[in-house]
Amino acid sequence: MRGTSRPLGPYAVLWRLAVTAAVVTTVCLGTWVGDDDWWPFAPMSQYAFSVRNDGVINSLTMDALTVDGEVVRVPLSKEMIGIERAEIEGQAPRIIAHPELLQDIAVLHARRLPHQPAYVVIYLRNTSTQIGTGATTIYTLATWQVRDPLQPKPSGLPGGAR
Amino acid sequence: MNRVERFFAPELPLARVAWLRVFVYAFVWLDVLWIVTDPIPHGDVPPSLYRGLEVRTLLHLPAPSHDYVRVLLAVVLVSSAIAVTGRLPRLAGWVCAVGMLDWVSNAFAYSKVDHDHFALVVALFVLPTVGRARLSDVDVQSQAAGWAIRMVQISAVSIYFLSASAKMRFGGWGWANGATLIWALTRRPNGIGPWVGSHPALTHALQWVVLVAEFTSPILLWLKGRALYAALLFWAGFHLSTYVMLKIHFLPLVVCLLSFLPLERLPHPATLRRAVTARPRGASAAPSSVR
Repeated sequence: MRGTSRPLGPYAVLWRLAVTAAVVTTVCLGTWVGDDDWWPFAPMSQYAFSVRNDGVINSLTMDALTVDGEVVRVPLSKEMIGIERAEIEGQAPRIIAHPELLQDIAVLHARRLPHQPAYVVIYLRNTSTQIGTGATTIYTLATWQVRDPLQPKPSGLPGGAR
Repeated sequence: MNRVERFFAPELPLARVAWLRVFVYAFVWLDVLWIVTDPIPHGDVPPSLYRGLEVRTLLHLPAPSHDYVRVLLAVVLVSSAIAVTGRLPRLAGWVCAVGMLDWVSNAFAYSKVDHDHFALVVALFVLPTVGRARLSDVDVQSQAAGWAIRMVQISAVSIYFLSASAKMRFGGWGWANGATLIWALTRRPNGIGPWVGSHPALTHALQWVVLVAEFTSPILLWLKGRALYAALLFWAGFHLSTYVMLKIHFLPLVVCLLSFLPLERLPHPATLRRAVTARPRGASAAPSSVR
């Protein structure tokens, strides 16, 4: 046979097999017992939940009353306001418990979209759509009167650990 | 070599690692500039909405700020640009790996964690361990290369298999007969998505296909030749269809599927020269995931 062969020494093989075992074990445990905090070994859980065939589909939205007196949809995307709807959905329980976090949405809006009319009141809302009938119901989950709407300051609430 | 060693660290052409580096490091540019672009806007998000991740705590990575994310982007772009050329494979490779760990974990540190990056992160950490590898190293059979390639393959398969496991853990055994796909199509309608979503029996059939394919995906590690190509084609089609219907593409995983292909056969001056002199090919002739 042409060509050269480059085998590894016993220790080089050993640490590699150990790394393989560690990575495979951790990623399996991540999905079987872990949670999102384990990333990059977090559960492979996108679309893993069940939805009943006669169930409802919840979809969060955020609306805001601007200084111009108009109610507008808050553009929850990384391109626009800088945070995505899915990220707000993940933090919805926190926001409902501490509506003050919506102050930081006003801050983000002022930083990223300064040319738009400032937000005075921000509403976190949920739209439930009934599978089958398509009937929708809208609930307001949290409301926040923005402090100093033209130059909002961050809430200062702690982030960090989940 | 015993059987375990042959399975996890086979001797494979060094050129395959060289080619995989080209694809992976080029993809890093695509990833940070087009797919995972959240870290730059996250630099403007007040820290109250930063949730962190265990890996960021362990590595003492700070909450992202406006300047920090821009410097990080430059580090990732420069290191991957060097690594894609095959120069400084270890230094540039490690810097890129740690930089991408920071970048992607930043994207996922605000309460939305995706699982499409696991194999790519593993690839970025194992590719530097091979050291120097040239596209012309077609006839160099390296065990270090084989282990790195195998790790990328195993990680890619883990994503599929564990996706099915997660469906059983979180969705239960009724997942495939449920309305998860309809839910997704309602929230992210695109292309033929709404039409598919209006046919519940079709969505159930598709869910069964996905579940069975994901559970049986580990056979990719043993398949050879046409069967392997057929399986890879199936997964490519799967990712294409989720993109067409939901705008979800899983490209970071798709690029890792390239590790299953005999990339060393791609045209390159060294391989073309050999074709001209028409000498018999070496042992790398049999198409297979591990040869």
